[in-house]
Amino acid sequence: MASTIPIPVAVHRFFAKFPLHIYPDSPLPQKNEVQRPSLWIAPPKSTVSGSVLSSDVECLKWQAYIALRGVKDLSVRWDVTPDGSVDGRLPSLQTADRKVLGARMIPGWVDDELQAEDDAFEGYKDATSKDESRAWVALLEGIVHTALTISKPSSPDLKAMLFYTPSKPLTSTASTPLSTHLSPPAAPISGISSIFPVYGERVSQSAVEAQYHDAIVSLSDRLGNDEWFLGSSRPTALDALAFAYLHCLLAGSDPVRVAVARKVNLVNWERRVQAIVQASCTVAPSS
Amino acid sequence: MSSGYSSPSTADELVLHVWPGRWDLPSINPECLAAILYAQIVLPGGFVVEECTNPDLSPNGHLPYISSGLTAISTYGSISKHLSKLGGSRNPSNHLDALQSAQETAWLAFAQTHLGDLVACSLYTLKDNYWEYVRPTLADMFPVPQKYYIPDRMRNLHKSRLESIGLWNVAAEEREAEKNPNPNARSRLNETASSAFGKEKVLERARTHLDILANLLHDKPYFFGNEPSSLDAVVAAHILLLTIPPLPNDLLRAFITSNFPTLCSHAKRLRSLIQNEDSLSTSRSFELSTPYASEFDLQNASSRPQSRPFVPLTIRSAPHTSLSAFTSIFSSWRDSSAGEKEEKTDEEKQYDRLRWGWYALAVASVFAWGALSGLRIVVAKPDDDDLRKRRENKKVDEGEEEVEEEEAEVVEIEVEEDADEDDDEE
Repeated sequence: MASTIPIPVAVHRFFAKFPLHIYPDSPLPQKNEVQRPSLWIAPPKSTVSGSVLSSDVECLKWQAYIALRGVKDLSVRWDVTPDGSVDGRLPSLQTADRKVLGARMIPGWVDDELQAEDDAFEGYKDATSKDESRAWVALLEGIVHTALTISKPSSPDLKAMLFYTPSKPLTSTASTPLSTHLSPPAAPISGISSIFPVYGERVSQSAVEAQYHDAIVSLSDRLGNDEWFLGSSRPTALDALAFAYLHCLLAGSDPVRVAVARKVNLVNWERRVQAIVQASCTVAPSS
Repeated sequence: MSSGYSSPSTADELVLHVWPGRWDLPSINPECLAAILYAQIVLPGGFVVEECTNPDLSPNGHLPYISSGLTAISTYGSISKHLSKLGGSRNPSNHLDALQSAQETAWLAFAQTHLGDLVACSLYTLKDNYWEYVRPTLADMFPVPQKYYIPDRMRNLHKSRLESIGLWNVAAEEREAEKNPNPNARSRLNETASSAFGKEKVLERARTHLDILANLLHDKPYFFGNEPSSLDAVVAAHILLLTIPPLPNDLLRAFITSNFPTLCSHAKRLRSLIQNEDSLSTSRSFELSTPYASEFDLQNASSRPQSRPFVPLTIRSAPHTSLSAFTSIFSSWRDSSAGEKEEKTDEEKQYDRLRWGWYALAVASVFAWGALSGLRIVVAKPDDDDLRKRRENKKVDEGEEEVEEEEAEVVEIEVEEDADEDDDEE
């Protein structure tokens, strides 16, 4: 290789002892062609029963949103870690033309797929219902999310403690602090007046449980015997969000599960929507 | 974490512990202010507001909390439920049907979440507000050394939430936009890009959520019918804290007062429950420089419902807790030297006896240790025989030392002479 800088002969002879070999490019393994859109999600709680519903609320929300909007031929896969996803968190959507979209781009992609017209009410029956949907979203993503998070066991098992490996959690919701969803944010365990540096989050479990119970009762009263929330004629984003939370609550620990299980209309509604979402999604073939 | 005895009140008195008030409002915290408003709706005159600067006393580490005897209840939701049970016929939920009650639960979550974000942004992240006004105001409430670190901790509590919604770095983005005052093409492009953040983001968020609440309220006096409810208290508390404080950066105050007059008049209506009409008309809010504030205040000064007579709040300061006891020692000594004497309860007298008993035990232990270890403290008079003898002994010792020094010099001289003789011989 020609060099613009003259190299002394001695140096050249020295470098000649360490020749540079350039190997040919390795052929990439031929993976299955992406024929249909694939949603990358956190793995289901159990795949024994053939469930393809994610165990993470955020992933399940988007999975249900795509399914309830009527998108067909959606496949799901859970062999992708969050590091490989957009913004470092699941879910992400791989389209048929090999683009990978973050969660925020999913509504726009769905509108393009379905060639849906702009709807000022976003599927709700009127502007009042659309405004009310924001309130229910705040309730679900606030106190209900907090109750779901604190109901999960935080203490790791013995094997995890002995073979500790620092790694990012698979689910996006597990990595965000509770204060992100609470208003006002949680106080530190060490106390705000303490001379010691602050650490931890102090949440009154009894207060959260009381508010969670009220939230579930309100959700049940609002649903009543309607097919979709807020009396909509077709499923909306609120239905997808409500389904995601109800499904995870019913699969959760007893304190949160019992509160939902007592409301028959919520349980029946969740099962009906679960069947719709389950039927719309298939597992992507493994590479 | 601090803990301590904080309530010398009577056993069954209902005490609402809140952050202290400023700016002509009974509390600087929106949840505390909402609790006061709701308590005044349900139990006018049936509770006492106690200013507290130690949220660690609360079951969840936050103010407000109410205490009655040995019971303490925190969070606004639980407090409002408890007050509703005590309110009896004044319970606002009595005039709500099941659907409205369910909707109120959702709207409460909406108001607390999104209006709470706006209040936190206004107090802690808008340019100049925190460092030039809010922090000194908070620091005045605390003794040394808490005043140097608690305000920053209170601000940092909101960091994760405001970061997640993009309202934490608003001040930095505003400063970045102000760095390019020249309106040439390139700087205009930069300013457009940076103005997409900063204050525009705040205003966009405020417009989105306040539009929804304004549509919900519409022309009604209250959100649900003709009687105020829990939602009215929460929304009014947040709107008051967004519009009343005279912050240096009045971005949100000017925006809300000019674009949402119905929400402002609604807040004023609720405020009349805790403040007399006369004090409202002469309050600091009328002294604000913005024309919008004085305009809506004058129009709505007499907006309290006729069916609700005014019952003034009973507000008192909290007693010193153990954490501030050290710093309050000097103030308590000053108070006692000034001749102020307060009647103490039996429990307090017992604590005083135990405290002085411990001091006495500590001093006695020191003396006992000194006696057992052989320490003696001798107080001698100048003409004492012992002192004279010690002086004589001291002189003798000094004389012996001089002799020893002379001998040492002689030895050294002899050694040197011997060394010299040896050298000469060589």
